[in-house]
Amino acid sequence: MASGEATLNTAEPYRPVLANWLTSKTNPFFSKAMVNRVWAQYFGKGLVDPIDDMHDGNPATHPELLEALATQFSASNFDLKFLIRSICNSETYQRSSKPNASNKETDIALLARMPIKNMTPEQLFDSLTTVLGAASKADRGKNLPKGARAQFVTFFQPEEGTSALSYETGIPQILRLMNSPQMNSAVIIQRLVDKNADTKTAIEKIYLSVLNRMPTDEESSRMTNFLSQATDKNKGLADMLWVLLNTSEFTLNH
Amino acid sequence: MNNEMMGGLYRRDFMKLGAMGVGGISASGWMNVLAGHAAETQAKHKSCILLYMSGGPSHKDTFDLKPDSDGAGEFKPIATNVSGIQISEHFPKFAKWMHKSALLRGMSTGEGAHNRAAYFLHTGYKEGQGGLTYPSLGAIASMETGNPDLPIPNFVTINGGRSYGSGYLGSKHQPLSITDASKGVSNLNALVGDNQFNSRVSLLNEMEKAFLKDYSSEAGVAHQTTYQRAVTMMKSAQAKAFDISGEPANLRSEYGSGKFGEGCILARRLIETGVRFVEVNLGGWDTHQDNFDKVKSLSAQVDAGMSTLISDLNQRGLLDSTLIVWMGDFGRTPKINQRGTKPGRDHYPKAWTSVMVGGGIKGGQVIGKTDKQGATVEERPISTIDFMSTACSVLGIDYTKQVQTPIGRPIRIVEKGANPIKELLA
Repeated sequence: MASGEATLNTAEPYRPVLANWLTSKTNPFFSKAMVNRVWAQYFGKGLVDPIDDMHDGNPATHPELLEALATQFSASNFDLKFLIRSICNSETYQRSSKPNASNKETDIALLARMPIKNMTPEQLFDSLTTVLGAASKADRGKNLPKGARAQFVTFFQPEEGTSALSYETGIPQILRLMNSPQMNSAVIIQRLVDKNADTKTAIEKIYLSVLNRMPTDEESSRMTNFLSQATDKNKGLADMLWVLLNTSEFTLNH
Repeated sequence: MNNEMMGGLYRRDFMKLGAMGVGGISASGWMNVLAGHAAETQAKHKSCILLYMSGGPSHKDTFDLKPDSDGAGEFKPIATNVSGIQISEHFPKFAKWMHKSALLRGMSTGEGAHNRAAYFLHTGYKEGQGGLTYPSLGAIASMETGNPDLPIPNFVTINGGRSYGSGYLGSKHQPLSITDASKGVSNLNALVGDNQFNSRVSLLNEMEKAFLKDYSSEAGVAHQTTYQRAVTMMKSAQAKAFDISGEPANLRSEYGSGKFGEGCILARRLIETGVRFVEVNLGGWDTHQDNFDKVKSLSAQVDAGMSTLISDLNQRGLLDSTLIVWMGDFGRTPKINQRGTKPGRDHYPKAWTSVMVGGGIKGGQVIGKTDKQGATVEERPISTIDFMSTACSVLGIDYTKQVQTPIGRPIRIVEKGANPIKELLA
């Protein structure tokens, strides 16, 4: 290793020596490895992939970029906020994940568009409870059994090494998303939508709550049509909520 | 460059097919071609039940006893119904099925850490090799021999343990994981009526189609495919196979009342329904301490579950078309450690035994031989890829076939250099 051999003093503890040696600016590996990990958090995939497989036989997709970020990260005295700011302010990070005519055919690894990522189990749980528990702040968390988040996360945990860019959620997990009582509660609708709200307002409220956006005109008319066939207004709205919560648009970070 | 282009095409084609399936256009020409092909090849394909012993069973205390060795252990050998073949006294029921079974006593697999060993034995590749995640044998069987029209997955795992899923083969061949056989599949039924559920699903399909049109991605296709598989399963008659409660009480007690026995009975029901590959896990074999008490009680569970599974399949005419594999992470040290209060044995991948039953193999055989101590393989060593290629051959899978990964990289089902056990193939 370029940092050379560390000198150990048998009278002193070894661990601080190891830490200093590891994070020494003459160690070319530490900074790159850290940059690669942080990059993978934002793009779902490291510049070197898999992130722990850094060696000459597995080169970075963008070696100059990795080099530049590693040099600056090291120069910033390993300031993580500096690194995150640099990544998030980049045009690359701010690209849309919606393919356009010029980039829809290019390899996703070239980052001409933002990759679409699966949510982590923690993100999915928090997103679901944000919708399902948001209507009444006082109730937030109250109806959840102790350790519900931990149980959910364990149940939805992908196997180690699963790429964030692939959706490998299993059938048992999807059955829970479709058929658990929490996902089928009619009470939520009464909390989420004012009972005097007209159809248009109700649809918009549910879209904003689940997908954080207004429905398109086409969606508005599709949903209005869907609701008009429901025997009961609340039942129809509950169906709509169920559908939106089970969409790719809700589940995938795009 | 060429490979990359091919990879791109492959992926896009796959996405189109996925989108079509979700859109409900399933009776197009290529589907019929596939179905015809499936019917044609069905006859030579076998099903498989993998009884996986997590932790690594001691070979010297199960199927390769060495009564005159150092560290012979406490158990006596007993005769089986094939003359000259002896096994542990704790497998009296299984001893009656030796004529349908083969003991592979030359296993020598090199990986001595649980997770790495289990990964290697499930996939035929070492973990991390070439930066890929490899499919386990169950996913390979699902792809190569599975019935594409079966409304439940062709690969099911029971009792947890790590399933070592479909790797680069993708979501279609992921195992369905059942944590408790007696409870079957949780959340299998919709909480609303059929009509209401159907109208929800068709609205969901419309939303999905629109999203995928704007945001085409592998993750989006996999999301649709997996939802489609879940909905298909919910509505299928075959899903009743997951409910073991209707099995007669006397048969259930023959299988054994524990989780392993229940897993075996569920495995039989699934194979009967057309599932290609079922893995049943039995943990607890990591007997660094208290080896003999533990192995004795685990052997009793295996003897009841596995032997009843064999006779049950045999009675239903399914034994010759179903391969049962019994194996664990590795064997255990020929010598006994006295570190704890009760004697134990440690990890030992250098020489151990696995068992194959049924599936039309030539039974009544011992393949490979260890020395007097059970410490080294003297005859017919069986490496992990030898083992994988043998299992594939019995199941009717061409193990030399190259499979394309999603980026178009060709990977052989089993690596070059495998030497399948020809003596087993009838």
